[in-house]
Amino acid sequence: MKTARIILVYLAAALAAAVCGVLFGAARIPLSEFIQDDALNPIVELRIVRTAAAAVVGASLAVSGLVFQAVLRNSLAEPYLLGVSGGAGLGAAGAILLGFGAWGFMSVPLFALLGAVTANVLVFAAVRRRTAEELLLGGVMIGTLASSLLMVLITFSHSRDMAGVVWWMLGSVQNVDPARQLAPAAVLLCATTVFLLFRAGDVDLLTFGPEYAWNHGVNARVMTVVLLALASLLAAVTVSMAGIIGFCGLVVPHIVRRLHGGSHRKILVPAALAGAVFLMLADILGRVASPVRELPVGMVTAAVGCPVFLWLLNRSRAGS
Amino acid sequence: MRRLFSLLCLLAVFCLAACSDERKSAPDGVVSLSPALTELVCHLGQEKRLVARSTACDWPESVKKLPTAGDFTEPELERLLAMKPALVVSNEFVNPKDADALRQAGIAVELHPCDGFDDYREWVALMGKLLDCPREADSELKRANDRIAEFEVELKNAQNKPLRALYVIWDSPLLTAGADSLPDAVGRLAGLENIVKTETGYPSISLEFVLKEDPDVIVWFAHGKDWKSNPSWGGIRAIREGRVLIPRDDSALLRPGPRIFDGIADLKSDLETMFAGRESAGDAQE
Repeated sequence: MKTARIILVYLAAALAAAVCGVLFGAARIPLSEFIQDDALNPIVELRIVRTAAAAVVGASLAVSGLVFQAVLRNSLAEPYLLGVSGGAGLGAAGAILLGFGAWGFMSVPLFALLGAVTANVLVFAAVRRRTAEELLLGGVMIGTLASSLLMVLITFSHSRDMAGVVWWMLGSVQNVDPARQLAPAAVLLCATTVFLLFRAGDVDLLTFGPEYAWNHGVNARVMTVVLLALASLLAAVTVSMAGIIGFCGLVVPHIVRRLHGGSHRKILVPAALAGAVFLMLADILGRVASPVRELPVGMVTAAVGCPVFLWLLNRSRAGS
Repeated sequence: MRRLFSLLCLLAVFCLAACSDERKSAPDGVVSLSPALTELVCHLGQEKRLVARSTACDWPESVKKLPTAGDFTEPELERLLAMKPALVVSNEFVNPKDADALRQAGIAVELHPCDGFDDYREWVALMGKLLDCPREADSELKRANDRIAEFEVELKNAQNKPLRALYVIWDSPLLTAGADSLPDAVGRLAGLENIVKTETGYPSISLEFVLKEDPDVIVWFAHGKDWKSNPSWGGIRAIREGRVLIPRDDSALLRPGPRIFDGIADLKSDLETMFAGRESAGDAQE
C-alpha cells in the first residue's frame, strides 16, 4: 500500500475515534442537547478536550517509542527509559506531598515536567560516552534513583496525599488544561514529527548501528543524543499532562512496524495516528465501562493492548 | 521477728496484687495510632495514660507533646517495643504481622474498624472497659446517641429536600466519598444527599458524572487544594455559582471522634448560611 493511502486509512480511523470520543461517555447525551442555551454543553466540551488530549498523548508516546526502539535497536525500548517516569513521578509527588499543590492547578504538572527533564539532563550529564547502550543504562540507574526517592517521600506522607500520588501515577486525560498544556504539547508533537520526517533516513541508518550510520555520513553520536533527547522531552510533556501511561509507546510502534515495514518516513505518521487512535479508544473504554468510576487509562491500555499485541505476534509468526 | 517478716511479706503480696489488678484493669501505657481514638481517650479524661501517638494525631493540642510511634499504616515497631506500652489501640489497617509482633512482646493490641457512628459507639464502650472508665464512657455514649437523635429529628422535620452534594477528597484526579463512607454519613445528618450512591469507599469518579449529576453544593475536603485554577472544574454549575463549602475544621468531620457532632452542627449552620433565602434545593438548580 502506498504511504499516502496508509496515512489516509489511519487518519480516517483517528477521525472516527475522535467522533466516538465526543459521542460516548459516562452520561448519555442526545445530539439535540449538545448545544444548551446557545453554548456548548459542558459535558461535550469536557469530552472534546479529553479526546484531543488522548490523541496528542497517544501520538506523542507512539512517536517517542518509535524513536527509542529505532535508536536503541531494542524491541523492549519505551518512552520512559531515560528516567522520565521516575523523574516525573518524583516531581509530581514532591509537589503533592510538600504542599505545592496549593500554588494552583498547574503546579503538579509543572513539577512533573521539571522532574522528568531533570532526570533526562542527569542521564545525559552522567554518561560520558553517550552511546545508545550507556545512555540506556544511565537512564535505568537515574530512574531507579528517582523511584527510591519517591518511595522515601511516600513513606513520610499522609495517607490521603499518598492516594493522590498513586492516582496521579495511574494516568488520566481527564484534567488537561487546553491552553496551558494541550496546545504546547500539540506544537511540540508537530515540530518533532516534522523534524523526524526530515531526518527519517538518518533514523533508518541508526537502526543498523552507529558504525553503519557513520559510514553513511551520519554523525551517529550527535544524532543519537538529539533523537533520544527529543523523544524523552515528548514523553516528559505527556507525563506532566496525563501521568504515566504505559504500553502505548511500547506496543503501537511494534504493531505499525510489523504491518508496514521499517522505513521511518513511511511509518512515522501512521505510528503517531495509531497511537492517537489507541489512546482515544482506551479512554472511551475507561469512561463507558463504569458510569461513575473512571478506569485509569493506563490500566485499559495494558488490558486491551496486551492480548491484541500477542495475537498480532502469533499471527505474523504463523504467516512467516 | 519471724512474725514481723511474715506480716511484711503478706503486705508486699497484697501491694503487688493490688498493683497488678489496677494494671490489668487500667493500663497506664497506652499508644493510640488513630487520631479519632486519641481524641476519644482524651475526651474520656484518660489523656494521662497516653504515652505515644501517631504522626497524624494533632488534637487536642496537648497530645502534640507526646512522642510519635508511626501511624496506623506503618507503626514504628522498634520504637513501640522500646516504649513497652501496656496497650496499643488503632483501626484495622495495621499490618497483622506488626500486630502479632507487638502481641508476642506482651503488649495488648486492640484493632477494630473506626469508620462510622456505629464503630464510634463500639469504641466508646470498649474504651470504657479497657481504660476502666465506664461512667465516662456511658456518658459519652448517651451524648453521642442524643446528638444523633437530635439531627435525625431535625432531618424529619425539615421542609426542604436534602441538598445534593459532592464530597471532594482530592481534586485531580477526582477522589470522592462513596455511599458507605464517613463523609456520606456526616453529610446525611447535616441535610445533604450524596450524588455518589452506587460506589462505596473513596472512589475516583469521572468529571462527566459530576457534570451530569449537577450537585447543589460541593463540600471541599481537599485541604490546601485550589479548585479555581483547574479549568476542568469550570463546567460544574456549583463551582461557577460559588456553592463550594470548605468545612471550618475538616478533621472534626473526617474523624469518627468526639468532635464529630460539633462538626456536623457547624456544617449544617454553614449550609444554612450559604443557602439562606433559597426556598428549596430546587432553587439552587434553577
